[in-house]
Amino acid sequence: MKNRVLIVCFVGLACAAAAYGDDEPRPGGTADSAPIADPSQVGGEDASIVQVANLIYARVKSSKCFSDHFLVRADNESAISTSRRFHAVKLESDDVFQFPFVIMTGEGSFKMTDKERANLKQYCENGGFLLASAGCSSEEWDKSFRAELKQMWPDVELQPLPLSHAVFHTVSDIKDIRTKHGKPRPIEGISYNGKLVLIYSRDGLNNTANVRGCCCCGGNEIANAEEINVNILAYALAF
Amino acid sequence: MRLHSDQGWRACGARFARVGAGVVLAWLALSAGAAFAAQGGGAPSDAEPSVPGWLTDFEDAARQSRIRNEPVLAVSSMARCPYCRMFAQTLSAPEVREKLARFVLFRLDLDHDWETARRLGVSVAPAALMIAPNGVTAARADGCLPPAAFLEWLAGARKAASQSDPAQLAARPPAELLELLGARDPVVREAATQALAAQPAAAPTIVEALAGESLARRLGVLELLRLWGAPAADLDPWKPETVPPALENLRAWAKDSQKWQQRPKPLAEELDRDLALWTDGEEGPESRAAYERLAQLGPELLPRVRALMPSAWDRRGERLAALRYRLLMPAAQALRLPQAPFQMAAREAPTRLAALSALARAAGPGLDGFFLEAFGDSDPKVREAALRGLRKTGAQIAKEHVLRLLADPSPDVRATVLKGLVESPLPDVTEELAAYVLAEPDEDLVVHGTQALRCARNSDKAFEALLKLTEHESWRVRAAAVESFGNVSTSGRELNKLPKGKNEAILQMLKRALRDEDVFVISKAIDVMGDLPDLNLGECVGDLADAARAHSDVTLQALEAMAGNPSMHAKATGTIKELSRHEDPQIRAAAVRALVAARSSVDVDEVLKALEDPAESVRVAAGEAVWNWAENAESVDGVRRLRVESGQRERLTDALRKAAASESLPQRFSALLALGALGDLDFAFAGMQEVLSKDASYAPKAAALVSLLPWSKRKEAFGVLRQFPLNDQTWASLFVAVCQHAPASAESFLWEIYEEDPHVLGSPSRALDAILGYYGLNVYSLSADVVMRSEASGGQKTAHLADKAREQLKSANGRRAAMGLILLSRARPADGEAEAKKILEAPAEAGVPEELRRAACEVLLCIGCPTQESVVMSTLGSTDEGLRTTAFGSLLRTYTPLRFPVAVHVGEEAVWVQFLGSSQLARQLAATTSGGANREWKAPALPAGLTAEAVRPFLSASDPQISAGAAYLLVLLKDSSALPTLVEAWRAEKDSSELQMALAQAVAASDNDDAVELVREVYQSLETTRKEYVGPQLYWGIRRMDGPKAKQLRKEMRDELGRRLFD
Repeated sequence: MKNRVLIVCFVGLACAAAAYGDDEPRPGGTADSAPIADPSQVGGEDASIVQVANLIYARVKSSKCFSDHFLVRADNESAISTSRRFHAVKLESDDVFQFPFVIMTGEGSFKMTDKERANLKQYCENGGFLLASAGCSSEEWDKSFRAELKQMWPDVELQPLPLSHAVFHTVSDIKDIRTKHGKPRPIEGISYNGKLVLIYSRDGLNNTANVRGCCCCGGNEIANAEEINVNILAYALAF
Repeated sequence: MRLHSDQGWRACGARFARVGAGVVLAWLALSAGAAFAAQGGGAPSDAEPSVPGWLTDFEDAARQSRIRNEPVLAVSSMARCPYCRMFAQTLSAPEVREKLARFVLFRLDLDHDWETARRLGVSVAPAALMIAPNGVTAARADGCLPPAAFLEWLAGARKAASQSDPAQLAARPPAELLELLGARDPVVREAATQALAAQPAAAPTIVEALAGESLARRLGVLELLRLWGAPAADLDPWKPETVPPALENLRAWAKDSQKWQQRPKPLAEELDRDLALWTDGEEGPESRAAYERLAQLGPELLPRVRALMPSAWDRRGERLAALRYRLLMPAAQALRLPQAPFQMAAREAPTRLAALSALARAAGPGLDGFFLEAFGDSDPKVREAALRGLRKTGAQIAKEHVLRLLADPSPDVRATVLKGLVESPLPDVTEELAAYVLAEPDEDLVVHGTQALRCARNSDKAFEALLKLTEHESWRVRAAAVESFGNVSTSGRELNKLPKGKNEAILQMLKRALRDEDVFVISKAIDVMGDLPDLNLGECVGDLADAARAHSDVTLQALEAMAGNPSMHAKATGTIKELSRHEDPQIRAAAVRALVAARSSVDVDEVLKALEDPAESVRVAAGEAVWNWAENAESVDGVRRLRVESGQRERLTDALRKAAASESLPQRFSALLALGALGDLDFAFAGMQEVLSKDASYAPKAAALVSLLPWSKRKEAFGVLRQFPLNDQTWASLFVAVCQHAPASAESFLWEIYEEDPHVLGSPSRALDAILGYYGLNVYSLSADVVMRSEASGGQKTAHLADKAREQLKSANGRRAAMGLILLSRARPADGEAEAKKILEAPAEAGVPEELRRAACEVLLCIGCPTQESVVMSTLGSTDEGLRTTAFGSLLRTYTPLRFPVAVHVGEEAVWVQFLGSSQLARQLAATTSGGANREWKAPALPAGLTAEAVRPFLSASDPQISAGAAYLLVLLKDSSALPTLVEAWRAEKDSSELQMALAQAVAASDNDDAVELVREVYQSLETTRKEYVGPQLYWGIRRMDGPKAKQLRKEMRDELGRRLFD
């Protein structure tokens, strides 16, 4: 975890409005119209940000149709400073180790390469965090993902996470998991050395309604996904 | 009201007020100490208030108070003051500390800070003051109070402070505010004046209040009228006789909605004085009043304020910044969030962010200037939040702002702009956007940029830019750019159309992408090929085949693309055959599927070879490929038959029979499906039963085989399959398959299944489809237009269906009879209506089943017949909640733009129906209310007897469509207070054209010109393409309004939409 993994000071996650440092005094816009900041007025992107990666796996499967709205919300409601855009990263490359938090989603079946499996295993066992989500509750994706996990960790099972788990009480207190219709299935996770390193939802945490060009008509996506994803991000960075 | 306490508690005098009071104070100290000790107070130890977070600079406290919109609790203290130490204990008590968190705390040091003491009029210690955010001292207590008494004072003081809180006052109805204009307390009076000043609609009522007897109120009213610039110069409130002559003139003025524009401008010296008072004056109500007066001038004062902004940040700069934002806030928003301008002037970025978030949540019309101003903030997160807020207002962001924001140094701001352009494309920035994307150094943003360009790809500039980006150095960008050519049409579909004459460029781009060094880019190119059915891709086959051979990750994708596009079939066959010998069985399986799909007849040799493949998956794929082929096979008497070249059928059948004898269930099953498709039904069906007896999970697929069987076998198959545990959906599919093309003799059998089978009864809508299928009809052949035509021409099929439906009506089984009534109403609406009426009128001894009676009521509610209105009105009062909701839904379908789905129930289950009558009636209604050729919307004549009281209970329905519909009807019934419910429903579902229309019509019905801003908001929230469709409906919706805002909006619509208004 280097470069992009400059995690902000994150004390007291339950306290949504956390301490920001005072700014320098600002003259503000003074033009009569369109008071846009002059480029020289600010110094570009803050260095202490978290950028989230979306994985390209099985060499050609991309993790699209996952809403990035939760990044803005995390920034607003917690002390996490986020970059507002995902960065596509190939699971097969070592670039993945530069990100503290990665997202993996998709529909249909897939098969990862040996190198991808090795990287993902090493990633999760060395401080990285994977948020996996079956796009539009895809059964095929669920089956493939579970099979891949079995290959990576033959002796480890995905465990259902009760609502009392800390991950549901970081930024917001999640009291229930709501789906578009029907009963939600539990969100599951895998822990390593006592720390949750992977969270998976077979219903889907994609929040597809907020992704342009994507739709989820037949699935049973989690309706309060945005709120839950903020919590997961906070948990991943704090614990 | 001011609280002033001197309840016997003791205090020390301030230095300047203490002279000669020493003896008195000594006595007071003794008596107070004794009293406090008696109440459990401990020995005083510290003169300082010991609760952390006490500010010692009053300027700072007042600033915090404005920002938080919380009052200041000021407590004075002195060294060597025993009562101060006692009071410190009071403030430290746990129950008190808990309450103090809701105030800005200020400690006034009477030993040193004489200036503040003078300003606040404090001369004793301890003393507590409650100072409202507008600087007015609302309550005061001199002396030391024990915890219980202090808490009591605190509660009263807070209440007093909140009485002058503009936000709280704004929520009060005008009648109450009018009362407060005569309040004795000047703080309350001033706040009420400010709250009413923002409500021009109250002007007529205010004018009438002049005639009242109360002098205090007349004075307050006159102050307000002067603020409004009303012609009240001749009025002397002290002389009641001057009121009647002035009233006539004032009444005429109050009706004039232009009065705001006619407000007199302040004199230059008044303006200078107020500006000086606000920027340099002391903290307190005087300077705050100056701020409020300046705020009334609105944006016209902005240039002056901007010119005054200092280059360095100081108190003056902060106050001017607050004023700048206040000038850009509409009065209603300023009343709700008075702290927002002060927050925006705060040094701390999180405070500014909080202000923008709060405003974005309440975003409404008129806030765009506020958000635009925040674009000048030095913090990128604030600029980003401002942009998000602006988008929430629904305002179209001007091109100049978009371009300047695209040059913002923060990538997050640029990302937000690009996301905004994806969601609401701006066609007139395409050229600049293309140039920006090509120059953007951040590859993630270029990826966002390609998505924004994709929305404008029918422009040459965007197309050329995207083409160039397919050669970008970053694989991420190349992949995104290639992907942006997906899901388009080179002809026909207008929305996805690419510029003409670009086919060659697309082909060359695809060929290049297929040779890309990055397999992810190649995979995107193959995806795109699947999205271009109109394009002749034969030229790409070579590169596609090379990619398929070189990268096993995309081989399957390539095979699917080859099979999916007919223009590649001829050239691709060789490659597919070659890949059918690939070492990977998955690829061989895909190849056999592709081979069968790509040929006009089954390639028996290839299938036979695949059936011999060592891998089970390939053998299964061979059988499935043949079965899938049956989807396109010819249908003879409803039974599909595969065309196989003569002489080959036997070879194929033999091989499949052999495969069907395999130990592997998947292989056996796929071979049996293929045999069924070839017509070897006896063998296939017998084998199927065996497979099912071993594994029932094959049942859904086996059900699909039923439709291939002749009737005699189908009936038997149904009997067999029903022994297996199938879910309702599979059962319903099975029933549809059984009913399809069944002979006349099957009728009683099918109705018996319907009557008896719990699974079929569990899906009555599908059962309806199945029965319609049996009678040779489908839901489309029973659409309103078709039925009308059929009725006019004496359509035989619908007449036959009507006869058959009548027979079912006689059934003693309620559900069967109810289905009969539904069928009759669909085939012959008038007959259905007559039958339903007869059923409802039947005496109890006639023994009409309850299911049928309820269905009859619902049919009459849904059918849109002349009787409907009376049935709706009588059913609205029913105790049956389901029926009441159906009745209300029927009302909504007929009289509102909301298409609330109506259903007739068969038992517990709903059958969703669309009867002819309702659409016929709607058309009639449209004809009577549209005003003919000019399309102007006119409010429909609601059923006689429909009252607001009958509708109002539905306003709180849990179904948002019902509550929105109730709000619409209430506005039509002249109760405009329901309009916010409709606005709320639209805000929750902004893309709903039904709600967009409903809101525009309700605004027109309310005839409130101010509410036109809501229609503007709807209009501005529309994407370009939607604007062309919905815009004219909004235009004609408010065409009847003649207020200035309505006229202005219509003018803007005419300018933008032009001839489309008349399309």
